[in-house]
Amino acid sequence: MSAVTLAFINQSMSDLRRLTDQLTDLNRQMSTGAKHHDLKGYGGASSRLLSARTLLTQSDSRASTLEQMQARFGVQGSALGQVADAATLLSQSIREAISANDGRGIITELELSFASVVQALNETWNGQPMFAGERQGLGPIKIQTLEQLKTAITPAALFDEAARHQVIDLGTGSPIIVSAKASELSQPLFDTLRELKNLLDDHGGTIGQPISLEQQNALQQIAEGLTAHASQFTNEQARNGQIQKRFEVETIRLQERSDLIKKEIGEQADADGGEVAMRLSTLSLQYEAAAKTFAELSRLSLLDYL
Amino acid sequence: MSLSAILTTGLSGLRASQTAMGVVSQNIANVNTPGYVRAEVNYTPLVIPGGNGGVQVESVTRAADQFLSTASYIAAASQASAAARADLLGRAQEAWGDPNGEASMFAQLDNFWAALDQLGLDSSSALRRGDAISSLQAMFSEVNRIGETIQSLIVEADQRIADGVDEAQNLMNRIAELNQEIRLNKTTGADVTAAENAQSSLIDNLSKLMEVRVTQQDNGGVIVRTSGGALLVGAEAATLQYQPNDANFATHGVIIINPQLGSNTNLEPMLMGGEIRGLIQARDIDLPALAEALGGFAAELGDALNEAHNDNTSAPAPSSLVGRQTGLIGTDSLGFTGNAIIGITDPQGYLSQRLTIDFDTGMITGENPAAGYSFAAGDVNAFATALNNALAAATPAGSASFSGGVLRMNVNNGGGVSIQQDPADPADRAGRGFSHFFGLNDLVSRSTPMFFEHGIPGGDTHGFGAGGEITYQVRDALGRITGTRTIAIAGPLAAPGATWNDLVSELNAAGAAGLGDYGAFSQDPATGKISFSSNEGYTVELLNDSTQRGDTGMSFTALNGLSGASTMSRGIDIQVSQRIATNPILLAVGKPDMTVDVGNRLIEASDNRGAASLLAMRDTPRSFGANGVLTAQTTTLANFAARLGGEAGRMSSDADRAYTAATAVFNAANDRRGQVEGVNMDDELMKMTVYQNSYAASARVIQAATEMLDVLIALGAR
Repeated sequence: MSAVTLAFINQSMSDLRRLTDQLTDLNRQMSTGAKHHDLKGYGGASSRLLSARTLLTQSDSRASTLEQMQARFGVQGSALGQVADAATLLSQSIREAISANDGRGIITELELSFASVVQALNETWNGQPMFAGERQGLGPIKIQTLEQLKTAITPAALFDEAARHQVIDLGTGSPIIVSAKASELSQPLFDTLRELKNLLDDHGGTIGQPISLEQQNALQQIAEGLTAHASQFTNEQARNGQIQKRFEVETIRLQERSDLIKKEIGEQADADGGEVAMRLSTLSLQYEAAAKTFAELSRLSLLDYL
Repeated sequence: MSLSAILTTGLSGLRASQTAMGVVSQNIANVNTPGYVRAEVNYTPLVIPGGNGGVQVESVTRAADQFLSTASYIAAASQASAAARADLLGRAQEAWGDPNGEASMFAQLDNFWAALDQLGLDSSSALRRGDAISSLQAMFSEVNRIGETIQSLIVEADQRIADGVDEAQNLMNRIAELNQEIRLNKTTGADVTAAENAQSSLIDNLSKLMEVRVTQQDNGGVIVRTSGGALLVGAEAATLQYQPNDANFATHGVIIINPQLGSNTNLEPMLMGGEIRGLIQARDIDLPALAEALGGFAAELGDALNEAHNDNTSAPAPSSLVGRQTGLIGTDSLGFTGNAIIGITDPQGYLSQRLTIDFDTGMITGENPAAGYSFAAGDVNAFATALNNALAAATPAGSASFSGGVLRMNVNNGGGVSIQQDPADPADRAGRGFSHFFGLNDLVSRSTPMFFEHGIPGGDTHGFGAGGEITYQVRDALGRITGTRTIAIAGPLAAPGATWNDLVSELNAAGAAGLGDYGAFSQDPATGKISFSSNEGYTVELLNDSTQRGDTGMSFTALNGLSGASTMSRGIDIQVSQRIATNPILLAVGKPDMTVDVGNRLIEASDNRGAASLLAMRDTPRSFGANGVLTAQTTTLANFAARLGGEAGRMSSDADRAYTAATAVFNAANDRRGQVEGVNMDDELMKMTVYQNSYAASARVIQAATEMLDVLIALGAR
């Protein structure tokens, strides 16, 4: 018969249950890596954690948007470069023809450059034309041939695009124009190409050999115009690159912000391995001590002496 | 002293020791019985005429300490009350899930915002629109699930109250029976400690259900009262009656004490602690406050999204718009100020007709054809007719109608319709724009109003059909039901032309006709919303509202948000509009350009300004009214959501801490009581040794006296 009473048993059971609960919680923290698993665990600080998680999602989502935009700017820059190259190549060809006093190859270069310009300006990203503003569907350049170019004098005949630019809001309060519209970029270029086409047609479809002085002057003027247009596209490509660079910097900033928020969330939500280990050690000791005390006291009895 | 007297004295010692050993054995046997109070033997010298007669057991008493018992009852009641609250609030907060997880309501809301962000990249993508809608649906599904969980916990609390009342009744009956048994045995001098211990154990159990005070009676037995003074057990047990109600948003009854005596006394105000008190607190205050906050959050979120969605449109624009249930009837004043613009598009999305609605002059002006459509009569019907005429004249033609509280518009032959506020002079009724108020292009919806600013002026016809009744139950400061008041749509109220002012006057009538003795209804002239403020010392609860406003099916309380069913239930039934859920293309991701000339494109497929407007709602500070546990505040939707989570966590965590503290007090009180009243094995073993020795000594005295008597007898024989 033990001297241990009900009160003592209740106290011991209560202590062991409390210690077991705490040990279970530590075990869960170690296995999940999280301090708590519900709102109760965080108490009133839940709102701080939830706000931080909202900020994190916001930051990550924006960074993801920018990364996707980088891909678009890559395609967009390439298209702009293609137009600039087409104009430059045509300009060079004209100059070479003038210096060789042989204009027979100009028509071929014109056709190739025209096709390249139309194809580049009708380029799409994710299925949407990049230079048509907010409009969806076919590309902004309505014409397909040089013959059509000759008659497409007005912007309405040449371009099919939205009134507004395509913009993206980075959440800074000032939406950014993603790209200029085809009409803004290429109207002067198409005018020059039309001028060249008309010049060639005026001479039976091609300029032969030799090239007259009048033709040379006209061609020289067109070549200079093409060079100027090419440099406009190059400038636009540079602006494209600037935005790309700005987005890159913004992405890095967002990633840094995201890291900071993750750190804050981690401080609030992640289990501290060191602290858990320390508490585990202390609680184990307490558990053993409580169990041992109970066992020792359980053996005490006056009966042995009576 | 004669030898025979010595023998008798020895015998009394034997008997007394034997009785004491019996008590010790009883104590030892009950060493592990919870609530057992050890018994003690009280001796007294036995006096007989002419001298001492040995010893007698005067009484066997329990080592009960009244003060420690009382402390223990109070602590047990506090612990049980705290345990009930902690349990229910703990389970309620679990419904929200892991705040750090990816599946919680909060994470789903974040996913929705992120999806809107991504939609800005390619607003024409059906996939991205679908993604945004799915996230919003998942978020509202979570809200609904949490709302239902809270309601089921309220129902469970109510059922547990009923179970607790039944259990308390059984305990009280048994305590009363033991009172009689103890008194009877005490009268006959029998040992009553066993009965008293059994009764004490029953009182211990009762104290967990309701905090009690126990008064010992001189003639045996106890009187049991609640701490608030209600007599539970006197000459006999009181009768408790409680009828649970398992309906959602029910008005719960009260625990009536002694209804068989015609009493209408509510026991609840006289319960200071115990599980039943904790359950009542959770059922009537904690859980409804959480449910109100959740419903308020769902409605505020939905309303904010609808505000943005109604001012934007999808590409292509929808061909039909079906508004929300406004609770309005055709004869109501239109009540708008400012302007709104409607753009009608052809199947290719080009603007074919622009209708400018000037609510101040009561005129709709069209451009193609150029015409004016007057709604100078100023009521909803006149407006619907003018709008219908204007749409009918457009190409493609359309129509508009207003019935059952719902405004509808459509354009035929593949055309589209878009609505926008005039930026310079926006339309306004009770704080909302034209399309927003009528909910014509709502993203989030419910079958009854999500907000209660209906804007109906007091002078308008109230419109509730004759025969409808609103019944309220009134309770006084002690929680007693002092009566019910029924306001019927009858007599002058049923007469044609009876106004909202008349209805409010009737509701505020003094005496049996209205609730004027207990509080006052008042109408906010800016919003039309009617609210009720009870007088100090009274609580007014809605029992039933069978009123119906015209052909809307809307009751008075649902229209004004005057019941839990109309406010809390927003956390259960608010959903993404079915029209958009089934066709995410209708998500208004673009902003129609109402300034373009007729013949130009109204909306472009890659316009992402609508999505940006929706996203901006996350970070735009708004004024939120008080919603349950959430106080009125001006903050962003993102913060409002976080605070809702914070409040749920705080409430549960506080309840848990209260439970831990109450448990510590309970354990301390019980330990102290156990030390004084409980059985100590060492004490009992020592007593056993003493009683054993005294028994042996008494036997030795008898043996010696017998031997002496033998000597005497031997002498006489010689």
